[in-house]
Amino acid sequence: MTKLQSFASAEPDDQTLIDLASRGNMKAFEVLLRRYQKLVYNMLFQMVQAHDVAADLTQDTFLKSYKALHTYRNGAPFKPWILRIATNTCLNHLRDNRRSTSLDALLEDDPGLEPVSSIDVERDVELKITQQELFDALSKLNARQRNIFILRYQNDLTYEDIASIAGESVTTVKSMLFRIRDKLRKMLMDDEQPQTKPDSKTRKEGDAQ
Amino acid sequence: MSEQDCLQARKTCDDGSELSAEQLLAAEQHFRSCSDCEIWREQWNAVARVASELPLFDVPESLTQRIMSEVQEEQTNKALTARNLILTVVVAVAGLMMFWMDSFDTIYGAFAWAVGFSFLFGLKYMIQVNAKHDAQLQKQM
Repeated sequence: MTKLQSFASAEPDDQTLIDLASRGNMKAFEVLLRRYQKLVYNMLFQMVQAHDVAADLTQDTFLKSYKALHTYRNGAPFKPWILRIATNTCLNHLRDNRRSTSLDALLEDDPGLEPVSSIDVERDVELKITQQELFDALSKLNARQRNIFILRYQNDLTYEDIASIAGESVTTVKSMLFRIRDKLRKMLMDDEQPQTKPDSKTRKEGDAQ
Repeated sequence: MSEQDCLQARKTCDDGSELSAEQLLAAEQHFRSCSDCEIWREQWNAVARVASELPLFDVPESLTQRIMSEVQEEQTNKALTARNLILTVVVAVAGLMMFWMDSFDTIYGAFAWAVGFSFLFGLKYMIQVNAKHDAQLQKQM
């Protein structure tokens, strides 16, 4: 099947669209844009938490991707590539408009083994984390941590893809994700049970102390 | 039960793909016997569950159109840059050909003049095409 035949069919693949777009075919680029704009926009929205800024950054991302189409490596997946451009665009924007609300300084990076709560395991544990609470907690992470968390748990990217986007090794990404998720857990559970005392944990009978 | 046991068990929640069945089983047994770790695991899973359920917003059509318009402008600019480059080269070559050999005494000199004139007419044509293209763009905007 030629590229033109493929384009005429209902769902041309990314590589065909990229080839055509890099030769100036605007229709092909529009199909690519419509295919990935929601993913990019929502990732950026979770990063900046403002619709107007997310829209501007989405525009920048796709414009940069259009300019850089000639650098796109044939056969490589498009999704991590466009998300890497979106991530860099967003991190640059946040660096230029740095906010000072991060709680990083207040929280240890090492998750350690802090007690989780005073809830007895026999009791029904109701974990009512709302989306708003998670949204608020995400805003307290630094941009890089937020980005890695969103790529994994909202966009469902593999560790390998996240590593290529973040410019880190897979091992580092795994370790960072563990710490980030545990940090969020602490933040959310501390909000839920403010009365929790660190030394009041209970254990089942038979547990060694 | 040591803190090390708890930490080891908790680490298996993140990515157990590289662990043996025995290691996973040992971690599971730990979770069943350690209330702190069992609660920790529930909270840990809750964070990922809520994250995966975060709402996804649709992109407004106006944004799509805005992006396409920017991209179109970028493509036009690129085309104009290439055209200007060609024009510059044409002018430079025509200049060289016209003034390098300035005599009709030899066949080479006459040839140089002929080539020079051809380039000048070519240049005139390209400028006209360029102007037409610019006018069309202005109309579109």
